[in-house]
Amino acid sequence: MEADDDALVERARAGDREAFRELVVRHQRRVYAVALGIVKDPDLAWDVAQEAFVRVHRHLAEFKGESTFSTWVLRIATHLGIDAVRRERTAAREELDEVRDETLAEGGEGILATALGNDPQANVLRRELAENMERALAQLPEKHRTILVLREVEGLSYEELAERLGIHKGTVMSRLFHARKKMQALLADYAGLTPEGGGA
Amino acid sequence: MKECTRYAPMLTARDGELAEAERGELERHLAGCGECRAIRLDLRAVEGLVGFGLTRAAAGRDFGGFADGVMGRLGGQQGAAGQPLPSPPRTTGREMPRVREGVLSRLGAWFRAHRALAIGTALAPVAVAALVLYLSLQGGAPDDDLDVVTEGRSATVLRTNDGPVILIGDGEPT
Repeated sequence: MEADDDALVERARAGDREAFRELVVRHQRRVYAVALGIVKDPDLAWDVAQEAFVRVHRHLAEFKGESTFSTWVLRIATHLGIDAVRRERTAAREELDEVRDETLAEGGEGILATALGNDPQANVLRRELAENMERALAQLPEKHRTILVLREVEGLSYEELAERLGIHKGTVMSRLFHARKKMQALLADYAGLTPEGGGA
Repeated sequence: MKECTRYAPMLTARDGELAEAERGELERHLAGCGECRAIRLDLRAVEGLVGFGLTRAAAGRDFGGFADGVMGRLGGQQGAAGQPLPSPPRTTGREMPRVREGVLSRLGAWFRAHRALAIGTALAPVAVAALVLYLSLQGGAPDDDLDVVTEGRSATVLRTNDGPVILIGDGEPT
């Protein structure tokens, strides 16, 4: 029978390297997915994900089990990813990001939903949008990428996002809305659905 | 638009994430605002795409070597309970350049930050060697006849068979 995470953490805490390796193998893809969403670059994401596990190992003795092992390592990966992006970010890039911050008045609302029709899960367009997701995500500023990744890969609630990112719930709602809105505009643009004069 | 700006952020909420009062206000607004209803449909249309795309990207990557890389990075870390880890640390080829790079870059940074100290430290053996050479050429026997005396405020004085030699400073020996 497969040991649960808590049992593996206990063994790893006692110095069992194989138990810790098992934890790494179990969670590596999810941690990598979160890191990739935040840092964009696959090699850097790989590095961030590995470092997250190293940090976890270093602090195993302090792990009290108040959250799950998965939550703990993903939290560390998130912070490492954000740090990595902030170190690499240039002023020019940041300026560009700010220019893209728009309000509601972008036009074309509903056009994507209409194009997707009534069965979005089976829609060819939806598959096409998914294929363009990484390109669109890469265009978003770090704060928007991060909140989308945490919401969709980790499935965090408003409250959890507020706690993880150290911001108010209202800011979470607003940031998430703008992140989704930009994502939607970019994807509509890639799919050639942007109306004249509208778009991101 | 002002009303929309207030309610739009609520459009990303999942069930149970809005307070009852907020949810009621939002529904009333949506009932009278076609634009916000359209936005909500768009947001729902793209919801899940990021998670789906990233999970697919992670699933498509070969993770052979990932766990080895982590274990290699642990290196000589002690077990969390303070016990040595049972198997020897493994460092993969991928990690070695990183370690060397780290040491060299830290060394370089230290030298840049402490340039004067670094130069002084590097020159100290040269100065000692020059002094010993000078004394031996003078035919003296430093072991017996060399004495270091510091007098005045800043003068360092070597007392030799030939008399006092001031090395540093401008004070006169007394």
